This record gives sequence, structure tokens and C-alpha cells, in this order.
Amino acid sequence: MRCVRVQERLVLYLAGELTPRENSRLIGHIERCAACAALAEDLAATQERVESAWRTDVEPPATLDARVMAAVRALPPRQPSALARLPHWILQPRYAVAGALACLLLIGLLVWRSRSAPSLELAQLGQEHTRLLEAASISEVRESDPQRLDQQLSSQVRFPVRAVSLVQEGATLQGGSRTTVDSVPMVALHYEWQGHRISIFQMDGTQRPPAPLLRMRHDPDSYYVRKTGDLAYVAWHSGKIDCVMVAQAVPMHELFHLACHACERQEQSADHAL
Amino acid sequence: MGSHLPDELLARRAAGGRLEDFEELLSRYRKRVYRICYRMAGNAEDAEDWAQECFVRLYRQLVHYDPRLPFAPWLLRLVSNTCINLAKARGARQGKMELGLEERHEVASKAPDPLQTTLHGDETRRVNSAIAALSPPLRQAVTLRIGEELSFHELAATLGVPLQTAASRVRRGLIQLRERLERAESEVKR
Repeated sequence: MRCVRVQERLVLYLAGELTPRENSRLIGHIERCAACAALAEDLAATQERVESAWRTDVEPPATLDARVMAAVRALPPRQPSALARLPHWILQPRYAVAGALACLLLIGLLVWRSRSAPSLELAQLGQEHTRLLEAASISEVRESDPQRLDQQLSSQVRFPVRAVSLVQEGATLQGGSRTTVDSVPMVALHYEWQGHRISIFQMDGTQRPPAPLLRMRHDPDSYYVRKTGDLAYVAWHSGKIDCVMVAQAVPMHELFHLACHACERQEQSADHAL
Repeated sequence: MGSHLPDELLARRAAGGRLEDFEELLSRYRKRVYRICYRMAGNAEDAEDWAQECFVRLYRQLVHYDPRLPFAPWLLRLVSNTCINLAKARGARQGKMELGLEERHEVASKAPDPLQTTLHGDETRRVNSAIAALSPPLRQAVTLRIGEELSFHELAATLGVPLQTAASRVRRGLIQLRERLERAESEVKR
């Protein structure tokens, strides 16, 4: 054992806080090293001198308690922390562990539910639009008056259908159908514009919408625009419904123009309803 | 009549604003807290102010105390850190760059403490002057180890430092104390 190491540990030796093995090694060194032995002696003597000087206890002045309590009472009243308000038993490890496990279970359940729930994509609406075009009779309900079409379709679904007139934009309302895409009930409104068929899919805005529409629920003044192949989509959120306009081989800016007017009229009709 | 409730429960209730429970803690620990402050401050006048400051900080910090942990070591750490901060602030106020220097001056310039004069002899005064001249961290380590009889493991936990650092501070403190006491004695002989 080297002197530096021994000197570092001398106070632990004097306090009796070394392991027996360390103790015997340190004593072995001190027996051979006069410098370390002298230091050990000095440290022990100084410690003894301090202990002796401090043997007579000091008493706090009688005024201390009154001063402390006056200072504490002068502090602004405080609200106990949330932790302090919790019952004591809740801080015990077994309850904390149980709480953590319950949280994990809940998170797992939510993740499992979100994964197992059907995932509605815009492309599926594109496929549905194409299927309806190919069907012998595209519209289940043939009606060109928006209000009457609303009434007929709204009675078949659990959300308010909002068909609007786009005559001023050159699009004529043909009718509408109730349909289900990937377990999501919705209606498809059919318009004809310059020889093209346009569908507006409407679905319950309080349920799970196509992924792009999730963002729009927090920013209702925005639109989601996408073009895949010759299919174009414009999606928006209006009141209690989610809407997706789909068309094939229609220029994107034209479809967007129609969608903006459709959304505007929906808002107007909702205002009227109030 | 004092309460028989454990410190930890009193601390928890005092954290909720129950002053009678805080008063009970004050009554249990006033002597110990004052003793540490007295040895760290080096005089009775500052010791009372420092003890008051420690208890006020205790009251404020009780909301952060975890009642599953023993109260006394937590309190000791708070008191010890408060004293270090107060000693540094006192040094800064006196415009001294080197910690500990201001205490030498103060002890030399102040009139003898009546408490020391009446209760302690010359030897006690000499030792206390030498302790007061140590830098706050060394004084803190010596005060807690010898004055409060903490084991080195307890001392390390209270200071929040490794065991070897705690041991090193006590060793350096004792070596400096011996040198100062020897110097003071040789001046008296001359």
C-alpha cells in the first residue's frame, strides 16, 4: 500500500470504517512508515482536541422559536403540491408499479385498437368512385334537388347529408347513394361536369375519417388535395361531416375550384339551418 | 406536551400547511440545527440568524420532501447546504475573493462571544477560531463528522459527494486545524 493511498484512508481508519482486510493492510503500512504513523497520530490528536472542545454543548437562544414561527407565518400562504395532496398509500412502490402497469395496458389497448381498426385511405374512395361509374345505375336515389336529396339520404345514415347545388359552376346534381367503404358508412353524391362524373363522398365527421382529414379537423379552413394517376381528390371537413370530392381525368385546379364552392355552399346551408 | 408522531409524518403534514406540526419539528431539531449553524457561522449572533434561515427554508422545501425517506438526513443536508450558501454570501458581502479569509477577519475583529467566554475556556475559543478559519466546505465536513458524529457514509450522503471526497475533506480540515492551532500557540508563547 502506498503512502498516498494510506493517507487518504487514515480518517476512515480512525473512524473504524475500513474493512478488516483494508484495516490490516493499513496497520501493516503504518508500522513500517514513520511519516504515515506521524500523520495518523496528528489526525487522531486533532480530532480528539475538537471533540473535547465541543463537549460542552451550545444551547440555542430562547428567542429562536418565536423568530422562526414569526418568519414562517409571514410567508405567503401556499397551496400544497399535488404530490402532498395524494393519499400516502399511493406513493408506496406496489401501488406505483400497479399504476404503471395499468397505464401500459391502456396504451397497449389503444395501440391495438388503432391498428386493428379498418384503415380508410383516399385510394379506396377512388376505387369506390370507379365502381359506381361502372355500375348500371350509378345513383340509388335519383334527385337533382339538393334539399330533397338531403332528406332522403339523411334518413338512411346517422349523420346530416349536405348536398349542394353547383349549377353556377356548370355541375349538375344527378343523385346519391348510400355505401360502405372499409366498414365506414357514407353517402356518395353524384355530379356531372363537362361530361365527367364527379363524386362527393360524405361521412360522419365525428367518426374516424380518412387519414388526411384528421389534420383538417384541427384546421377546418384547409383542404387536402391529391392526385394519383388520373384520379384527383379534394378533401375537407365541414361542420359534422367529412367530405372527399373524387373525379377521373378532371384537371386538379378545376376540381379544386368546384370543391371550394361546394364547401362554401355547405357552410351557407348549415348557417341557414341554424 | 410534544407529539409522538414520527418525523416523516409530521413533515408531510407540515408540508400541507399545518403549522403545529412544523412547530413540533422545530422543537425536536432546534438544538441540533443551531449547533451546526453555530459551528459553521463561528459566532452566536450569526448562528441565530442562520438557524432561522434554515428553518424557513425547511418550511418552504417540505413540499419536496419524500416521506418514504428518513427525515433527519434530509434535514441535515438542507441545513448543511444552507450554511454553506450563507457562509459564501457573507464572504461575498465582505468582498473577499478567497473563501474562509473573511471568517478569519471576522473572528479576530469581533468581541469575544459571551457564550464562549462563560461556557468554554481558552482552548475552546482557540479551537472554534481555528474551525471558523477553515473554508466553508472543510468546516462543514469537520462539523458534521465530529460535531454531529456522522459516519463517513452518512457524511458522504449528506454532502452528496463520494465517500473518498468526504474523507478527504475531513482529513484536509483536520490537517489545517492542527497547523492553525500550532501557529496560534506559538504566537501566544512569543
